[in-house]
Amino acid sequence: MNLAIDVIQALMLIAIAPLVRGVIARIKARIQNRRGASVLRPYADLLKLFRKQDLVPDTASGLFRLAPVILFAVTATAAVFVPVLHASALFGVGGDFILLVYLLAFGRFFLMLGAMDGGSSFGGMGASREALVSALAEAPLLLALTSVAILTHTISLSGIVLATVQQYPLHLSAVYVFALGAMVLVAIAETGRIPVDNPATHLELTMLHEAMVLEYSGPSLALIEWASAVKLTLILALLVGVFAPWGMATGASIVGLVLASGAFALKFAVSAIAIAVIESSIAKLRMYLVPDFLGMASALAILAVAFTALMR
Amino acid sequence: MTISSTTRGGEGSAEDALRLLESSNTRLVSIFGSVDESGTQRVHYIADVNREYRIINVRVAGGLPSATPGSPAAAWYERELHDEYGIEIDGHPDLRPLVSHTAEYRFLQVQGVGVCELPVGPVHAGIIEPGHFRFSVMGDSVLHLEPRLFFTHKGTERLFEGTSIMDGPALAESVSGDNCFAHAVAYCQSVENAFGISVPPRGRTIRLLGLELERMMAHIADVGALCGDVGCVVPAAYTARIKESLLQASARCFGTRFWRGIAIPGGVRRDLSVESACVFGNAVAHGANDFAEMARIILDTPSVLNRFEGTGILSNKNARDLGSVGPVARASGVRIDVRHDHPYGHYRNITVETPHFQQGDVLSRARMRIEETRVSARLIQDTLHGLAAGIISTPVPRDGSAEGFSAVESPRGELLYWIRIRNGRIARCHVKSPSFQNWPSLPFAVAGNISADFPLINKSFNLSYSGCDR
Repeated sequence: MNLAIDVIQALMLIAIAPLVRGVIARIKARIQNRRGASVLRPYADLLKLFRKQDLVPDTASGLFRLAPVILFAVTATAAVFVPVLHASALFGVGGDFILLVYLLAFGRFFLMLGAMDGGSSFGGMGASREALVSALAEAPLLLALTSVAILTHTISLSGIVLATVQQYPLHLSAVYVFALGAMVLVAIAETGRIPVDNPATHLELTMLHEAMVLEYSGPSLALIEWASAVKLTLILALLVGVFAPWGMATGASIVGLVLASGAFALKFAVSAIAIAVIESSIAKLRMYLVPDFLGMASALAILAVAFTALMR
Repeated sequence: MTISSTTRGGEGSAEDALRLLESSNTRLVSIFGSVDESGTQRVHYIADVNREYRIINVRVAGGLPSATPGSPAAAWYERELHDEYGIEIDGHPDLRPLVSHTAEYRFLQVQGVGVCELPVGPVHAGIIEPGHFRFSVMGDSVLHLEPRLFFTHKGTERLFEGTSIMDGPALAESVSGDNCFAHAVAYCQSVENAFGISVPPRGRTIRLLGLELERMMAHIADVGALCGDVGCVVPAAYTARIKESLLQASARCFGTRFWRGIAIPGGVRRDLSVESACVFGNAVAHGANDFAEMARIILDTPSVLNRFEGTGILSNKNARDLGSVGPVARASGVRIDVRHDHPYGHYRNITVETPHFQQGDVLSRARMRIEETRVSARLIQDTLHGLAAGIISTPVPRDGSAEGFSAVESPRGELLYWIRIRNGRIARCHVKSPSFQNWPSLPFAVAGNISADFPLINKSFNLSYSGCDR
């Protein structure tokens, strides 16, 4: 039964990822007083891309086509580590958060290789910018998760989530506050949202993530788009799981799972609204202020780790 | 042959022209060539001397001395002459092809350790006009930018030739799509100046309504696009709505969204009823209020100010040297405005407030547009209240021969048409578009910034590719 739930929650994460994007886009449209496209439009986009021809630049090697497949595969694998409906995941016990972080890094590494392999100047430019952002985002992400891990005496994600969910909500320590702050900033940078990156831009010189995928088309582009949607959903699920897991089922009862699904939907709706409101109210940062932004995340994460010493 | 009474000048030598351009208080307006029916080739120099247009027509046989060393604003005009007429320009520092794309083109190479070239365009990731930009960058910092344009060169000036003067406005309207009424009016005024005709007062006031509305719409859209470029989507969406409401008001009151087909030589084609004037006035007032509110929000958003402030500075000296015009020049402290300096039409009867700023950054250019929108909205209201009565157009000789020119302040700045008419048909028409004048100043504003800010700086200039390339 547990195994079935683990499989279902991982598949669910992958399946609803485009919906999360669609919902955010819809809320943003409403804020702008527009009607907006259907929340299902990202699915239609994926379907359209999967049916299209995959154009490969003459200069590209086999790596160009391979990179999106690897990216999607590792992102989907990472989804299996994240507890969603109940406080465990298929690989939740065997795999710790360090593996999760580097699975995502592995996917990004291949996307950067693919971007440079495309041979356009924008692929290289996007890859170098992405490398900068990811190098700076890695430390705060690891430190924030480490602080929570120290507090809960476990490095497995399931363990962390289980320990948090069993706590009385008001007994949370300051460590959580700092770690949450750091993780939110990292999440914005990692998922390429405003103010770090503008996923809707058509201006190639301002792009980070989008510059890397400019040369991609058809099914390869669909895999990249889907993978980045999964990554967004996964990071949101991680934030929700580590910092607000209440409502998750602890056993395997049907009632518990139904409640957990409801709680999950609610928490995701709140996250989507938060993202849409943030993105609608501020402008994108100047490119050279992005390191400062992630420096702030690092400072928060270091504070979180330091505070664990006080919380013993 | 008549030349407008407000202009002085005539036949002269190249040395006269150069001396004029190099004297103080002189701003180059345009240099262009023509060949008349007897095969005589001339180069025409138009300059603004102490708020007065002067034209010097120089007969050319062989080469010409270059004006560029003394007056850098002449550089592109002389390159265009070299391309299109094959005139040798002696002493020009850079005679690489400008308009023509047939010959090999060598970009200026910045040398040094760590300097990379970043080619961008002419095909872009978004749906925008084609232009190639060659950046020499060190990391993300731009050391040098060289634009390569004229991918949309359609030979429009040649297309005018042989057209009946009454059919000219349709072609003028298609030169730069978002400034079509300014182009049509500039064309019509050049014909009227050539024949020494004056437009009836009511026609002049209706033209003013269109010109100022076009300016409002262009500026509102530009401010919204600037916000869109920094990822601030809400103002972008709201300004798009405000612009659309103005377009719809135009459609209701004048039967055209973009004022196409309204201007004709001698006046305008469409009158305004009392009810329409009321509807139009209300729509403009609403649009202006909504935009003022949005502008206040934009200028109160720290993240937006952080992107705009100090970005893409065009210094006052560069703006003057390169003869920059329009809001770009005024944002850099160069107070020129055709409506004020060379009043035409109904502007002769009123005083136009010309806001200006000193900093020359993206923020100044955004604030220029916000201020000018306010001024334009008020001009429209004032004009509607004092709308002259009477006829809206006057006949134009259908088979006359004459030469003349006229300028208007388009939303992008000084737009000038020079026209030669032979037996009611256009023998030569030159379009000096403000974009052609302002493009060379863009690289000076970009150098020293990071390449990721280029789209924002470019948008704050908002130059037309089609209008420049013609």
